[in-house]
Amino acid sequence: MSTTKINLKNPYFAAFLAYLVPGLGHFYQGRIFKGTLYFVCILGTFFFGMHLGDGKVVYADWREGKRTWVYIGQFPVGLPALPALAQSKLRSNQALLPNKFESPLVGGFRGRFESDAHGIQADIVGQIDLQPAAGDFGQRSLKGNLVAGLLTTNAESLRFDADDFEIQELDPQVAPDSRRWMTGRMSAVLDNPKTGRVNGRVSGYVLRSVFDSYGAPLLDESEIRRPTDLDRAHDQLGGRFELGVVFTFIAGLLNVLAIYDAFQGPAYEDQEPPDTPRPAAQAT
Amino acid sequence: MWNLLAPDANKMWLLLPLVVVVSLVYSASRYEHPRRILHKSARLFLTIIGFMAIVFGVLTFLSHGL
Repeated sequence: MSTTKINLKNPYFAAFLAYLVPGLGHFYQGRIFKGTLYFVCILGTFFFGMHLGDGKVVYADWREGKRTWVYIGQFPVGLPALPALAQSKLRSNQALLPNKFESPLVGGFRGRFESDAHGIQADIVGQIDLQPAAGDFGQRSLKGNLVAGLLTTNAESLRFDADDFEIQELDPQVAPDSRRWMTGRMSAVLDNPKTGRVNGRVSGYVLRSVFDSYGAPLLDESEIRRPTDLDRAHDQLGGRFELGVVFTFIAGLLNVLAIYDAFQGPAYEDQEPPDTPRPAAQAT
Repeated sequence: MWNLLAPDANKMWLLLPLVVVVSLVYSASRYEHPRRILHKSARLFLTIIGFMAIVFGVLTFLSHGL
């Protein structure tokens, strides 16, 4: 191992920085080329894997029978993989389960209104303001207001301004998807005096914040929802899911080499002095 | 065999950037100087790709007619 020619400064601190962000420990040591190489290669591989897996391939779950062993390989990539641990350990169980109606739901909504009885279909965008309330059959629900405008519709005119939007199914607060899907029922107003108000089914989503989606675990409980979110991710992504896992896993393993390099220096440099031409073979 | 290599048909092409990255990072962890890192990583890249091409050829030959 080489430690004589390269000033590693404080190798423990450099290794810690190299763990946090690939290449950061080398920047601290003044090894700019290697720092840049590690930063670009390792983070590029990690985020390309995340892109392949649609952000669903890095999460931590350490419950018996559900253990994500692959996270052990992704963990060394540092800060980009740490939110998965935080989502798993710091979030309440309620936030990770679907159809939990204890918190208000407010935000921009985009979705579709359908009324089979009147043959109406409409794409809508608007704002929801829903509060926990008692639903049908004594179950909890979210009820409130959806004020929406029309994007497209096959009806002549349609207005959404009622306070009777009631959620029936709702995705978890925390999940690895930028969209939090929901279905429910509400009424709309047709400008037809004979028809007036029509009841219909609404499906759509509000956007999740990055704090609720990055590194969030995929639900894999068939007794809660079937197919599970993990099953649906496999169906949706196919082989890209596995490829995403492989890329993020390899990025983590590569950063182990970078951390060791920051701590100990390059492996062979002593044996082969840098950039010095080898002596020509001597004639016998 | 050539259908397998069509860029839009096969995710195997993702192997190339992955091997580039593995070669660069591995070589960077072995050596310190940029020229040597790039030289060694180019050799490692060709070694890995060559080995995998041989394996690909052997498997393709063995699966011929299946």
